[in-house]
Amino acid sequence: MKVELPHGYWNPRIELLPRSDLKELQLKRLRHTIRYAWENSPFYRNLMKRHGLFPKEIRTLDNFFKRFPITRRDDLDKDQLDNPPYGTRLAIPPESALRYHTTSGTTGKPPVKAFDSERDWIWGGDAWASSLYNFGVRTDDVVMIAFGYGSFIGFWGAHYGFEKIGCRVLPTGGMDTKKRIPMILELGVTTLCCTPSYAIRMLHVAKEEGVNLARESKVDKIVVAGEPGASIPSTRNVIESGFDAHLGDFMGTTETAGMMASTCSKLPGGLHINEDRYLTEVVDPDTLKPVGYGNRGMMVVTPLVKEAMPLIRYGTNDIVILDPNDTCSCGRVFDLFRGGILGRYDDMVKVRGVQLTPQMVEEIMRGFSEVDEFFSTVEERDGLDSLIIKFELRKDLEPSTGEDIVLQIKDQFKTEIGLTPEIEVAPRDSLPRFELKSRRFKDLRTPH
Amino acid sequence: MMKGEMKNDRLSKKDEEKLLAAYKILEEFSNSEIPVLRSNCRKAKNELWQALFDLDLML
Repeated sequence: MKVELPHGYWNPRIELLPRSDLKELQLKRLRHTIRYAWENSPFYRNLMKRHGLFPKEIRTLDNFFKRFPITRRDDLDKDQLDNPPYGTRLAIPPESALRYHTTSGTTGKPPVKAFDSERDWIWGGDAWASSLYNFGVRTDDVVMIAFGYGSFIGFWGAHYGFEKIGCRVLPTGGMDTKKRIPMILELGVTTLCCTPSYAIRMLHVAKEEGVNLARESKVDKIVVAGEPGASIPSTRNVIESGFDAHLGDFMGTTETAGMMASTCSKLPGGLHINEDRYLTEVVDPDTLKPVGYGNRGMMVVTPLVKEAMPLIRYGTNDIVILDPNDTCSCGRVFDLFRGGILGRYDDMVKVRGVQLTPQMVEEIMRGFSEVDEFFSTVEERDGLDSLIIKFELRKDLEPSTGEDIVLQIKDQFKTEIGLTPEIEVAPRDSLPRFELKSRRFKDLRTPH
Repeated sequence: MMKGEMKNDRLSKKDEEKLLAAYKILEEFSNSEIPVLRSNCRKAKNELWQALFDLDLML
């Protein structure tokens, strides 16, 4: 039986501000950020000059939203390619940076190189600490971080955030799942930190090892980041019931170097945005006009006060829906993203007139407890675009049950999405497994 | 705010002044020629800066 998570505020002075005071604080920090970027970052000074914009002209948030150009990932890539290795966005000398990170590179593009100053790093750890505390992590928690600790920023910030709260942290970078499971039991781990894909993988391995993590472990919180799985109801259900624990979704990006929004202990499906550290907008991806509360749009984000690599109005391509702060009963002034990241505009594909995202496929496939792992592609077959899904049956099931599951999956896709996929049962252990940044969806059509 | 959650979330003017004075002291020793003092004071100064920034006492 899941216990209720503790409720509290990391920084009540700011988290309980009236909304109008928060806006004033954001404007003050934004104006500082723009002035700092103008003075120290050639990338932004040139961008502002090209648009005939000077820092003193930004006097209101509305004025900023209307006038300041959006920076895209392609702009960052081009800048680093044209000015190797770090580009012109860097606002401090490289030798005074404390950390070097890269994006994961899973989009197929070369990874963006990112620096953090000592102050940025403390800022990032503090953003994680604040989010973890708001989710219910406390000093007496024992935390396992299942992450490779490489140059991808991943859970580095989480590690420092947990330490900042005062938790006992177990960094298990070099271990495999079969070693981590007994460690969870032996050391009384209460909080597991990993990707949603890895949490599911751990449940599968535990089952093979004859361990029931829901019954035998003390894990009552799972902190996930790096993929949108925690926002997909069927995936959430698999993880929460498998561990009998609360699942917290934490969203951030390497480019912003911090924790932007996270699950509140009072509203499992809502992620409070750290609005004192990030100025966020939700805009129509084509017109770039704000879409307002309750509508899907692209997240645009400005980290407030970042020293090594300022980032201003960064168009993330992430699909989000904004809800007002009072949707949640916790009292925090910060608005929320409903259900976290709902997908990416650059992952969206059209198959026979139906707009499809990887999350839509995952939502249905994870709803079938008989499915162990799956992989989907969009291909041209006999002149027609087709969605092809391969899946592995759970190891304890007879292969003959596969046919019936195939029919059920087809039926559900037809009903929920209006598209009938081709489904194949794959041999056991033939599909890729992921511990970080899973990619279970590929569009293999030839671009026209 | 939810009832019964926070007992004392306010800082007095005097507390704020003490925190800012502590920052100034750490800043001074961040430039010390003694490595152990310089590095630890610099780190402590940056950690304190974060708290002061979060509390809107510094920028």
